[in-house]
Amino acid sequence: MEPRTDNYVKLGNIYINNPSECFICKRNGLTPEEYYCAECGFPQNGTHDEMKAFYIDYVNKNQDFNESVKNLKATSTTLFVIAALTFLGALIQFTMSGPLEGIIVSVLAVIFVGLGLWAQSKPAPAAISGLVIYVSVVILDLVVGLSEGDASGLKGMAIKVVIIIFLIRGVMGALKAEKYRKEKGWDWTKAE
Amino acid sequence: MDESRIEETPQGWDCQHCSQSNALGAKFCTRCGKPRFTFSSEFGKKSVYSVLALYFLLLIAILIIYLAEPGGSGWMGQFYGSLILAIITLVFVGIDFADFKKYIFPQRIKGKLLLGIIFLTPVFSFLVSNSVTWVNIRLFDQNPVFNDSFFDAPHPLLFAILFNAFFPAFFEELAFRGVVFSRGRGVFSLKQTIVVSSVLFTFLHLSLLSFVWIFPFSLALGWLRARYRTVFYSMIMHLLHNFTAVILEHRGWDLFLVS
Repeated sequence: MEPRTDNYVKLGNIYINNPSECFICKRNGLTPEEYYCAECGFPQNGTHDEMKAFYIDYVNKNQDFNESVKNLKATSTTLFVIAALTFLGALIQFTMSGPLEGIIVSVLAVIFVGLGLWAQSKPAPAAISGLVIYVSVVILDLVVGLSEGDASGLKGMAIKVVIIIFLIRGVMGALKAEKYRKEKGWDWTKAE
Repeated sequence: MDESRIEETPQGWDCQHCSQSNALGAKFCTRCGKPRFTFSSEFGKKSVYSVLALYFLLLIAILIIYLAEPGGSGWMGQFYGSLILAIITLVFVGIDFADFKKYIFPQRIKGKLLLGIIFLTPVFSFLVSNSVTWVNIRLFDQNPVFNDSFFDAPHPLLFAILFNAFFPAFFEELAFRGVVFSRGRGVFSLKQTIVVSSVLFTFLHLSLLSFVWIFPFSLALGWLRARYRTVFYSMIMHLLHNFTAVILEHRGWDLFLVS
């Protein structure tokens, strides 16, 4: 069998057969003077223990990154769900209170659709805007309703809390993804 | 500090730990492995928490003022309401006072820009006041008169100008183009910060229909803040807008389109 010429991991050990190509980021043209890769910081010419420590940290951070990408990608879906629920509310308002009330609530639904679309490219600002608007609407509905003796704002509170949790996770996921983008150049739009 | 970096020269950058000269674009030192950029594990969280805390404190305060009416429905009520909102804003400004000093006044006042704001803002305010009055009367069959809250004040018009024009222009700009903008810049791009601060500003006015004009108005205020790195021009624009609205309402000129 021909010996391998690429860099690889086997049984937890790191094998560097191509010193000019970075083991982690595959950057080419590394020189023997470059103890660490200038692109990802991997100790290409370091000790095996240094390589292993870097690799374990890299794998952990990668998992953390993928988790945050999953959360931020859910932001757009959450905002579309809010938009759909708001449209439903607009329809109810339309039939029960009149066309004007229905149109006003529809404006809110359109705003959430806009935020959902924005979240597909810019999740952090869209998630924080969506969170602020949604929580404001929930608080207003609840407080103003209760002050007028109407407790309908309490209906579906479990769903409202779940939606808020998803939006908060979206904000946090987006912040973390942004940190990894700046720090390591990991692009969440290219993550699976 | 969320982010720190070693500045680059056209030749590259020198590592602060081992003095190694690194090539342009290198993210890590090739000798010691230390990164050029370092980020705290809490990256952006403090900024986001500050923005959310300010917004929701203001929202809760507005709801309390609306429900409890401290000081009654007259000018004292307006006074207490404005005072509570001002205190909340000043607390947040105080936390970042060193930063605040940088963006309150411009280094040099731009005369042409100021003239443009002085001439165009009242026109915009006139169009908005008349459109809003038209919508209120045609759709809702009512026309709320904001100056009426000052009927019991020693000088109603003066107090209306003070609490409906000066106070909001000063404190809302400090809150949204000041605190929210500065904090937002730590996390978002410039355009994103303008949009987020505008969304927050718009929704705190608690009127969905107003979204149609407050949001673009707020985007313009945000653009001024971003372009000239000061809240001075946005404060002037906001002040002139509200001042014109108060005068129009006082003179009954907000009914121009309706009549």
